Amino acid sequence: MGPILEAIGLQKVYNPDAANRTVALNDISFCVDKGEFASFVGPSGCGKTTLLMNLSCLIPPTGGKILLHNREVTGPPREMALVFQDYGRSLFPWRTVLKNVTFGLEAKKNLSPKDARAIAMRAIESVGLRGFENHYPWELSGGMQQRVAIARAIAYEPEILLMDEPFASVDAQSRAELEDLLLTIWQEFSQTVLFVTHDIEEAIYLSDKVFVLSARPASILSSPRIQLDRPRDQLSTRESPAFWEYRHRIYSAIREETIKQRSGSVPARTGEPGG
Amino acid sequence: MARAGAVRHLIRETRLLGFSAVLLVLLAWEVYSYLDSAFAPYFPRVTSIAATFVSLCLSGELPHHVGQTLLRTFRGYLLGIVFGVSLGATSGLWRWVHALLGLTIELIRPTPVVAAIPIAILFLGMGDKVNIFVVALAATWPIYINTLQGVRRVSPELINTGRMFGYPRRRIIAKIIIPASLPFLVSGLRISLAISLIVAVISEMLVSQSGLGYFVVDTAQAFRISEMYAGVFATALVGYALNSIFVSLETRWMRWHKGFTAQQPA
Repeated sequence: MGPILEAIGLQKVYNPDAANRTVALNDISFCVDKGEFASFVGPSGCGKTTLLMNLSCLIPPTGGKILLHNREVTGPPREMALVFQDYGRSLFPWRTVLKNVTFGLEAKKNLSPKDARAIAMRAIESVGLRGFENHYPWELSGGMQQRVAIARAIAYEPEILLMDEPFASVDAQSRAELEDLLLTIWQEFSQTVLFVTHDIEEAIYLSDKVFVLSARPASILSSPRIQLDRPRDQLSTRESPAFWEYRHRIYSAIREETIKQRSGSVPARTGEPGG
Repeated sequence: MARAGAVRHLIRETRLLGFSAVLLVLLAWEVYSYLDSAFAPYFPRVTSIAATFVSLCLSGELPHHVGQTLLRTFRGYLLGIVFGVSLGATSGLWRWVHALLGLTIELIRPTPVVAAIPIAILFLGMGDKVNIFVVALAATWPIYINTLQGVRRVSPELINTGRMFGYPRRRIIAKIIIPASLPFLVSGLRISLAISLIVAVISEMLVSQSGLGYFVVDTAQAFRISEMYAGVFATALVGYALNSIFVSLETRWMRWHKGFTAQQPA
């Protein structure tokens, strides 16, 4: 069985002809197998969000190829759903929780409103929001709003779930709960998850594979396979020696890279006069 | 404790304080014009203005003028909505429309609309068309600006959510951009409604033979001071009523926006 998603030599340059030309991604290649949970971790501002935007083709890359089931992706593919970091800006405030969750389903032809409702209710139930379906998102806490966003994505039944720092804006307590919820959902719906985070421990805790990105322009430094037992546990997994070994390895790779950047051997921007 | 709570309730939950202030001003007016007889021709007693107001209402004269003013206000306002929304929405959605029309609009927009009245008279004569035209012209811009901003400020996450789920552009406009920019449009509509009434009354002072603007100027020139004040009060009441009706409809239809903004950090 081949990989479900493959990136070959992905490159993204902003303002290619202008003085503020910025290389965000530099020659990124990787592949992800079906059902895998893969994370991208890297220093803030390194281009993680750009990478997800490119993979979903919401912002197409300027170089390289993305293959989904071995077919090249040229526009936002139906097989993907995306969860943004900022739930306050990605949920529809004029729609109730239920109506937010049916939003993706309304785009599917040959699905009756009744069936869409039933699917949405199942998704709402799996994120633990049963009883809140007629509330508006802004009546809920941050963590609950992000659950709505997750429900909206899984109700769509995507093959690949893309998540852009989804838990960065919620409090620590909700964050741990949401991580475990996500793992449960991932196993229940057997999707492939591509998860972007700046939190190394979160990446290790959740993933089968972690792609460690360099500072901008982002390239992949290493891609360790995380062989920790599942189901994972917030206490025992995070306290195991293997967990700390992964953390040590990834952390030092990123730190080394940051030091190299600061010393100026790789300019973050090119084309600036006197840069 | 219970008494302090009751006082707080009166202050916060009722309009008692506001109405008392209005009554106090009217009372001071009444007493002053009663005491100072030299002042009375310009400041008739509130009670006599009120009596004039009632008799003008009963005779049907004031309601007639109010009706004329409202008719001109609404006709111009509706035209302004059509112009403002179409200009604002197209400029917000397509860059080339904004590039094409933006400069022209920015040159017309700051010009005081009363300056357009003589031009309107040249082309449209002395009838209602002038009032309607200048009201429409004045009402267009706040709606234009707000619609434009509303369309532009739709969060990219919302639009990307639609794109990700495979919504075509047409449905992204209908299902995301229009509802998301509605709160902006509504505040433009509220500002324009107030402006429409003002401009309708001003234009009536210059070109009409009916309406509150005509009535106020006509009675002032005839030195029917009580009637003039009755006209001014009627104008204030119409303005207050229009805004109150608008706000109550807004709170009913835009409940989500109030809740949403209350949740957002400033």
